[in-house]
Parts: sequence; C-alpha cells; structure tokens
Amino acid sequence: MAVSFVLVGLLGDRLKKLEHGGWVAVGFAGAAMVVAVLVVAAEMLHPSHYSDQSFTWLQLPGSPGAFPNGFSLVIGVLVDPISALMLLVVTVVGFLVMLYSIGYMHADRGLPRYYAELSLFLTAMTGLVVSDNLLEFFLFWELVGVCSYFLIGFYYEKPSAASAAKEAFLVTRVGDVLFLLGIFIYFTIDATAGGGLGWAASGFKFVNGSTPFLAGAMGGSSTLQTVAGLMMLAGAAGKSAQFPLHTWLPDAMEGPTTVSALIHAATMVAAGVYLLVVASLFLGFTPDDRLAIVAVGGFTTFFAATMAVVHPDIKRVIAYSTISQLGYMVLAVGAGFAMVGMYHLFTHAFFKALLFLAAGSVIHAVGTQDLFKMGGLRRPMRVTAAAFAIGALSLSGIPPFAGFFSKDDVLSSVYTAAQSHPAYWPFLILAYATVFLTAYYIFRAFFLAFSGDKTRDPTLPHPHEAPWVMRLPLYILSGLAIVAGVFPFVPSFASLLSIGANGNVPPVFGTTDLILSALSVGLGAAGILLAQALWGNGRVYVLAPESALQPVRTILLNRYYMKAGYDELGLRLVYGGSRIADFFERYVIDGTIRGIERLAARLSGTLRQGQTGLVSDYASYVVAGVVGLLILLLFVAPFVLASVGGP
Amino acid sequence: MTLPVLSLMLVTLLGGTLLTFASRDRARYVALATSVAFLLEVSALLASYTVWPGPVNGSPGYADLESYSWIHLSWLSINYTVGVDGISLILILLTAFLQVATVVYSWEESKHPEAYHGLVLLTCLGCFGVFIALDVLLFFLFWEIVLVPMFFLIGVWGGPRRRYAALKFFVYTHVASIVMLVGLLALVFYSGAKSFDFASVYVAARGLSATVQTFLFLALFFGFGVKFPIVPFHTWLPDAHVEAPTGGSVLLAGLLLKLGGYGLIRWAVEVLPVGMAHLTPLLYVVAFAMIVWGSFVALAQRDLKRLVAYSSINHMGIVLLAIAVYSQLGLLAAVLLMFAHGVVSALLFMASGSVHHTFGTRDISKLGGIARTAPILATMVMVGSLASLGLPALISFPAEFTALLATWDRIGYWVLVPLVILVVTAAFYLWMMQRMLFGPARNVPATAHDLPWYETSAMAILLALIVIYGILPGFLVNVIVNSPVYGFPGFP
Repeated sequence: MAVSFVLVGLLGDRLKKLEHGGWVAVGFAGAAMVVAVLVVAAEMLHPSHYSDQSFTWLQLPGSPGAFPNGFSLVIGVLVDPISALMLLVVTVVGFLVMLYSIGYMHADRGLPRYYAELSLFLTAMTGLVVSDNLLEFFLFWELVGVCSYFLIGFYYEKPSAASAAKEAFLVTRVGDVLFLLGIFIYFTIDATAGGGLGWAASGFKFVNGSTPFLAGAMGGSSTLQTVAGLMMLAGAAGKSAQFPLHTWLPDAMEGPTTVSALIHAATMVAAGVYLLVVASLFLGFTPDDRLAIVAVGGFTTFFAATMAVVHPDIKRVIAYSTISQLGYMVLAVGAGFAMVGMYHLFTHAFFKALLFLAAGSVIHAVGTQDLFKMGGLRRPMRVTAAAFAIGALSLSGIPPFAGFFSKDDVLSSVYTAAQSHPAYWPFLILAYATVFLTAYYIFRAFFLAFSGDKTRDPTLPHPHEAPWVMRLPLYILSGLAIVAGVFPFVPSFASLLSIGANGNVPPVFGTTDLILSALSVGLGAAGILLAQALWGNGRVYVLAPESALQPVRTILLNRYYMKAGYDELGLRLVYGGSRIADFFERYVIDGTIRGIERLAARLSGTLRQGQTGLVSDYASYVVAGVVGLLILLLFVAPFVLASVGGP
Repeated sequence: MTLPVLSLMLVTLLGGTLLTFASRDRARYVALATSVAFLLEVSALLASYTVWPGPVNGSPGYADLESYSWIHLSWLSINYTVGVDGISLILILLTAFLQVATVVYSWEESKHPEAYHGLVLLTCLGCFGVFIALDVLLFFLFWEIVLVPMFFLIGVWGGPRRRYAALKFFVYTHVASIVMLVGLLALVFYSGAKSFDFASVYVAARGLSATVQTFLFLALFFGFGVKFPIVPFHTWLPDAHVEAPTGGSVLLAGLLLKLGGYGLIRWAVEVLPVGMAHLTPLLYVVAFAMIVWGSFVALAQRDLKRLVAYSSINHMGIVLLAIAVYSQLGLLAAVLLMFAHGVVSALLFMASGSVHHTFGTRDISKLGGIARTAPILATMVMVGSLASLGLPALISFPAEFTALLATWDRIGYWVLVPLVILVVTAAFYLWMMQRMLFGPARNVPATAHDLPWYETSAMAILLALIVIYGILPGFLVNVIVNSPVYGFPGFP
C-alpha cells in the first residue's frame, strides 16, 4: 500500500509539474524516497516477507490450447525483499539526480517537459520494480523504454540525438518482442503444467497471498522452458545493453548527463538484470539457459571494456563501463547466484551514478565531453575530482570501496559455479581480464580530465566548481560508494538479499577466498598503475602510427564495426527490401490493375455507347449482373454442385 | 415490446442527415447536434444493459431485437430485423465517437459544408445500419449506402487525383459487394432458410455440407476481404486515402475497414464455421501477407498518409489473424483491435491532414522540426504513432497482446512473424517521427501555426479514448465477451 502511494505521488507530480520548475518533482521524488526507506525498514524487520495487493485488470475468454477456460490478467503491487532493495536504489538515485538536475539543467529550454518525463520515468520504474506478474512487468518495462526514448531525444533538434533515441527504442524493441514471446511461453507452461502451481489461477502472479511461487516448484527442463528462458535473456539483453544488442547505450549518451546517470547507468538498464533475477527466482532457468546467460554476460563484460579503453569521450567511456558492469551482474545471475547479481546492481547504481554526475559536473564546467581537451581540472574542481576518484576506485574494485565487495563476490561466485560447470571457465577468465581493463580505462579518464596543470584546449571556459545542488548529491553518492559494499554484512540488510525460507536460492556470498580477492585487487591496482604511467600528470600517451596496436585501436574506436553493420543491415536489407516491396506494389500489383483498366478501356471502344461515365449507369449494369449471377446460381449451379456432391 | 431503440437511433441519424443537407449556413451545428445526440443515445444504450441475451436453442439471440415483415412471399420472407450484441455495440460506439470527432475536425470546411457534413453523417448512418442489420437484404442495403457518400467525399473534396481514386474505390468495393451479395443469397437459398433473418440463416446453415460451406465462405471472404483490405486486393486503399479529404480518410480507415471485419465475423465466421475451418490455411497466409507487406511497404513511403494507410493494412492483418485462429480469445482480440485501430488511425489521419494544411506538404522528407514549430500537432503525431506501434497503457496494446497470445496458443512459433514485424512497425513510425518531428525545423511557411481549436478538440477526443481505454480496457472486453457468439455451440 505504501508503494502505491509512491505511484500516485509521482503521477500527481507529473500533472502539477507542468507549471512549476523542478522543485515539485524533487519534492515528490524525495517523498518517494522516504516511503522506499520505510518499506526497506519494514522488510528488514520482517525478513522474507511478501505482501501483495492486486486487482484484476482483464478477464479474458478462453483459447483452446492452454487456456480453455479463460484466464485473468492482474495488476498488483508486490513488496518483497528484492523489490524493496531495488526500490531503494531507484528512489535514492532518482531523488539525487532530480536534485542535481536543478543545477545542471538550469539553462535549458523545455524544463517542464524534462521534469515531467523524468517523473514519469520514476513512476514507471517504480511500477516495474513492484510488479507482481510478468505482464505488468512488461507493461512498465515498455513505459520506461519510451521515457528513455523521450529523454535521449531531449535535445531533439540535434539530429544525432533524434537518431540515438530512435536507435535505443528499436534495438531494445528487438529484445522486447522476444520477451513478449517468453511471456506467452511462461503463461502456457504455467497454465498447463499442473503441479498445483496456481500460477494461471492467480493471474500469473509471482506470489500466492504471501507465499512466493519459487522457481524450484516449477521444476522441469523442457525445451519450452529453455526457450522461454532464452527469451527472457533476449529481453534483458536489449534493456541492459548486452551483446549483441548493446549498440544503443553509448549513443544514448546524447541525452542530458543526468538522464545518463539515472536511466542509463543506475536504474533502467539495470531493469534487464532485475528481470533475470526475478525470472531466476520465480520462473527458473534450465542449465542451457544458464550457460547462455553466463556466455552473454561474460563476453559482454570483456567486450565492452575493450571499447572503453580507447574512447575519447568521457561519457561514452562511462557508458561502456556500464555495459561491462551489467555484464558482471548477468554473469552472476547466470552462474546461479542471482542475489550476487543484485548485490552488484546495488553498489554499481551508486558508484556509477556518482561517476556520471561527476562527469556531468565536469561537462557543466568546461562545456565539452572530449577528454583530450580537458586536463588539470583537479585544482578548480576539488569536490568533483574527489567524487570521480571515489567512483573510479569503487569501480576498479579497490578495497574498502563498495565495488570491491560486490565485484569480488561476483567473481568468486562464478568461480564456485565453474567448479561444477567447466564451460564457465572461459567467461570467468574474461571477467578477471576485465578487472584490469576496467581499472585502466577509468583511471585513464580520471588522469586525462583531472591531472596536469591546465586544460589542453585553452579555448575552454574557465572551470569552476558546481553549485551546492549539484555538490550535495556528489557528497551523498560518494558516501554510498564507499560504504554500500558493507551493508550486507549487517544481518538484517543481508536478509534483503536472501529470498526466503524455501532455501532453493543460493546465498549472497560465493566463497570468501583471499587468494581470489588478492588476484582481483592486484589486477585492479595494476590497471591503475598502468594508467598512471601512461596518462598521469597531464601526460598524453600517443600510440606510434606504425605500432602494431594501431589497427586494434581503429577497430575499437569503430566499436568492432557493429553499429555500422547494424546500420548497413537496416539500410540495405530492411529499407532496401521495403523499397523493392514498394516498387513491386506500385508497378506489379497496381500495374496489373492499370493494365486491366487499359484493356477494359480498349474493349470499351466497341461498347462505347454503354459507357456513359455515369455511376448510375454502371450501377444498373451491376444490378443486371447480379440478376444474371443469381440465375446462374439458382439454375445452373445446382447441377454443377450435384455432380460434385453438393447439398 | 419495449422501445424500438435502434430504430430511433437510425431515425436520429437519418433526420440529422437530411436536416444537414437542407440547412445551408448552419449545417455544421446540425451535424454536431446530431452526432452528439447519437453519441448520447449510444451511451444510454450501453448503460441500459445488465444482461446480454445469449443463444436460445442453438439460435443466436440479440438485444433490442426488432423485426417487422418487409417483403413476404410464399417461398421467402425479408424482414426489417435489427439487433445488437457486444461486438456490434463496440463498433457502434466507435462510429459515434468518430462521427463527433470528424464533424468537429471539419468545422471550418468551406466547400459546400452542408453537403460535406451531410455525407459524413450518411456514411456513419450506413455503418451504423451495417452493425445493427440482422437481415441479409437490410445488411446489403446499408452496406451499399456507405459506398455512395464515400465516393462523393473522395471525388468532390479530394486531392488532385480524386476522380481516379474515387472510381478505383468504387469499382473495387463494388465488385466485392457483388461477390458478397451472391455469396449471401446463395447462403440463404442453399441452406433453405425460410427467411432472410440472421437467426434463420444461422440455423439453416448448420445443415450445409462442408463443400458448400467452403465455397460460400470463400465468396464471403473475398467480398468482405476487399474492404479489409486483403492483399493483393488492397491497392485502392492507399490511393483513396491519399486523395480523400481528412474527414473522408478518418471514416475510411476508422469505420469502413471495420465493416469488412465485422461482416466477416457476423456473416461468415459465425454462420459457416465448417467452411472456415477448411480455409484456415488460406486465412493465415493472407493475414501474414497483410502483416508483412503492409509493414514493409509502409517503411518505404514518403507521404505521411500513405504510410498510415499501409500501417492500416498491417493492423487489419493482425485483425484477420486473430479471426483466423478461431477462438474466443482471438475473436475478442480482433474486435478490440478493430476498435483500437479505428481510434488510432483516425487520430493519425487527422494529424496528417493538419500537417498538410499547416506545412503545405505531407512529404516526410521535406518536413522537419515540427516539435518546435507546432508542438501540439507533434504531440498528436507522437501519441498516435506510439499507440499504433503498441505501447502499453495506450489502446492498441491490450488488443495486440491478446491477438498475439491467441495466435501463439493456436499456431505456436508462427507468432514470431507478427512479433518480428512489430519491430518493423516501430521502425517506420520512429523513423517518420525522427525525420518529421525532430531535427532542425525545415520548410516552415510563414503562415505555419499550431492547430486551430477545432482540430485540437477533435484529436483530443481521440487522444482521451486512446489513453482511457489503454489503461482500462476492461469495459470494452466485458461488452465484447457478452456477445451470443461466445455461447455458440462448438465455438472454442
């Protein structure tokens, strides 16, 4: 009930918002955050507590295959440990980003639109988090997608922004339609599986009253279930920008930095991971699904990190980093440790939002996103520099920052799973390699922006520190990026990460292996040192033109040509196909008709007297024709039909 | 015998139409008054039901049934029989809303306003008649009535190639009408029904052999299908839309295409289930062809109206698919989607019309930055497009979701065809918006302005429907599933 207040509150804000500035939106987002904190507190007091309230949205008639007696679709609010945790992430980051926007967006046009869309996004995201069935999940899933579309295209007069918005919508749409198929399959499985699941009877909800339908109950590893799991993966890959549907996220950086921080780092892109977590808890994955998820996550982690290594744009570096980190979460879920994925999602939301907001502060100050034009910003922007450093250390997995705990947990849980699933090993190795790359690329960005004496491009405006509304979120997020990692060591908080009494979900922590931890910290530290050596103190490391690495760099800068390939595919195959179809339509289908017309016109030369051009005359011919046909039917057809065995 | 409600409504429309034709300067007021009165009557009609009649002894029962003998011979009787069920009620509701919206949208029509509004009303009258007629001849009569005003709307108020488009429209639909009429008459005579009434035809048709049912269904499918319009008999549609005045396009896409869907459900699917079962593969092929073809060709269009016209073919393809799966869920989805498409395509055609007379062109490649120059218009285009591509919380989503679920339930992975095409549908709408609404403003004539009040109001009505029924589709669903067809023996 408390959460439905959140929904209403944010909707209300959307309406009022249109007259006022952003403070109304900030206020409502703050209220939502307070409610979320209360929800979390309640969940911490009652571990493994499920409370669900729903109403029937549609009562549908039957279909002979799986639903002979019809079924109902519901809309409801489910508060359980993981949704409480996710709610906390969404509202805290949402509130801080709203607050930050007051300063950051200050000079832009169309602010009511901005705050309204951002509020709508928060509403939809909240709805997604508390969904108690897959259809409702999908409904809000699409709504957050369309908000993302609007916000990426916020500067719609810029052609690149309009194009990026379209790309984001379309690429995620590919995942979405497959997700929809996955929903159909789950509906079918759960309506026909029997076994006392009660899924269909309850409107396909995840819970029955306060008892969750946990995945173990469904069992089975039929082909259908594998396919459904893969469809969930496809949906998640679209939303969470996993390979091969990752291309939209770097381009989504066309939106305001605040939007990047909230939607494209902390919350919406994490919705894909959240879907996988929810699916693995309530629906279950087959071993084949698991392997596919591990493969996608593991590969994406490494793949995205390589592209971040060379990129000159501060926001895009962080965007690739987001894809890479989401890959870690997907990896953990695939390895069977869904809660570990949630844990990394939780810490990542804070340190990644921090990195984006710090980058936003830089962009706000110098008016460019090009790292090679920046430099020496440490002195004029101490707070920002410190915030970015904290975010970078956390991202690199250096203790005692938050990222260390969760990333270490991801790695060790995959290590644990690989003991029994040898096929996971290559992806574990990729994940470890990524630790090194991550530390390197983020500190490369850090040194390029902040170290040295002065900006490399002297035409940039004189940098200044951000106003307090922007600094305050930086302080808070810095604090969270430091301490969020140890939250789960508090038992009552850890209960948010353990789904319940049934005990068929593995614990939060994989293994606590000091050697593994040392390995990942060592790799991280090595990455930082390499970055320091190449880029520290205002140095710019230029790769020799004849270097053997030059072609690699070109490939990386061109994003493995995947984006270009997709564009080409869309242009040549789909649009080209549609041009051919259009040609066929105009000249073959319609051309035939015109040919017939012309033929008729020529014939009519002999029947000219009848062709008066008046519709009434034609109509009388029609009547004559009907009479003729009737005669044919009544007197001729019976004989024909009688001979073929008619009535 | 209670009040002859349906006849009264028919009289309202008829009187309104005649008065509109007769009044010179006040035509639009008369037309609006008639439309609003009709909408109120429809609302009252909807509100009056607590229970829908179901089938009685294997013959269908309809609400507000009126039957008067019209032509009575020893060997046949033709009656004036009208009645409604949930399916027709939903489409009547759509008619009423679109009528109001069209009249409001055309508020400043300057070329023979009395004739224009009169013809709009006459079109709606014909559609209403089709939806209530439960007698073969009466049905055909109303069916033909619709053609005439639409022919003139296109031919007189249309664009540069209006004569060609009007004639093409007329010839296509008329040929189809004849095949349909022949099919219906053959249905009556072969089945040996003693009356032209739907109920007696329905009962009598049960006795027909599978072969005959198949032939009859084929004829009816062609007859109704051209209105759908089924591929490859669809090329009249884009031409008619491009040349038709905005009001004409709205009625054409919003109502006339629905006549095909309604006719197919009422007179072919309900009456000839065995024949349909034999032709199911054909229906699937045609539906898939419409879905794929409509979407792909739409992607290549530069004229906004043609784009929306081809997207209509795509959507009506999904309607046909939902009918073809032949289940309660599918039928619900088909009717729901017809309603949704009626409202959404009406909004999009109105927006196209407004684009045309604000910017002097509908060529997408020549437009740009409308979001800045005419934000209200851009919002309308955006909401219409998002609704059309199936965004949740807007009206098409529940319809498309149920249609695809019903398809999945019956033919499994074939559902991937419409699902994947949903991406192409999204692509052409998003691409259109990118080029036309966003980017820097281009080709803005000095006279460009945002929408006048009447166009805004007309679109706002549709917008409200799209959002309200998108969030709460339960009302529509409840009305539809109370139709007698849901209780027919053998209907899965």
